Amino acid sequence: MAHIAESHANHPGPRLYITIALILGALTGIEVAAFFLEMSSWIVVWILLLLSLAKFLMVVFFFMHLRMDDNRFALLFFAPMIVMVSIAVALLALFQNITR
Amino acid sequence: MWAFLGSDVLFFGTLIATHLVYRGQSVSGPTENILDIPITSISTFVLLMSSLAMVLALSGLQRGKMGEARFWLAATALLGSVFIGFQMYEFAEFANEGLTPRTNLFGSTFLIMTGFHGTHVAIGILWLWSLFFATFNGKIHQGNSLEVEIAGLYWHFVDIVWIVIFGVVYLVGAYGAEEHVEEAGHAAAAIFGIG
Repeated sequence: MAHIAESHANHPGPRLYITIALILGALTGIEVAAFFLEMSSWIVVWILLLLSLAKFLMVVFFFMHLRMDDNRFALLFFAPMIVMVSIAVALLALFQNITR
Repeated sequence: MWAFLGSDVLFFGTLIATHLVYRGQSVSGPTENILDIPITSISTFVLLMSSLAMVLALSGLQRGKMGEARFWLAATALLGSVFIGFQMYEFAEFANEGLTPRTNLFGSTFLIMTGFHGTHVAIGILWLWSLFFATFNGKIHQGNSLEVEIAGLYWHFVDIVWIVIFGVVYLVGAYGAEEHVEEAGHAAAAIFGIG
């Protein structure tokens, strides 16, 4: 019991969770607004990707508490992520090249 | 749970990568232009708010406030159900417009990817309701809040998968369709020194 209380002592409180959720909602709104803006395609694509990344990291670090958790958990989660993103980029490069 | 989530990263990563690789390859039937961004934006917001409800449930339980924990657990499950409702509506609309998993490559890869995500959400909803009812018979209490924290990790993971799908597949996909994906492919090819 004492161990559990100690392990959760560094979790953020409801106020921070609500602030994070409001930021996530606002970022989603900006994403949708950027989608409908008539801007250079590459700028919009980069804005959308960066906003998605920001939302992703906020949920992982604050809602999933990875910021306060053991680094080994971060390794378990981010190692496959790096592998997967590398594979996706490589596949995209290869297949787009072949089909051209 | 983190090890399972790591394996699920590879699972969803494969589905998303497959969809991206085959995007722009469909020769018939509806493709990205069928996506309804305003409706999906609402369902995305609903899922994000369900993540907030989940952390508030955990926070309430850790502070020994059982009523608060029950309320937010039920809210999380209900918001998840609303998300599933949006997805069923979307799939029904696609079917009406002639898009099924057998229509073309876009239909196969998109519906399998989002279908598996929806299945994860549905499993999460069942898990949340089981925790909700377990709070009444004393199986879930302040002393074993780790049970709820583990379910919360799963729920947030389902949320971040949707963040990626909404950003990369819906917004970037529907915005750029084939043209920009091809540009991205060439940029990636340049990075790897191919072609």
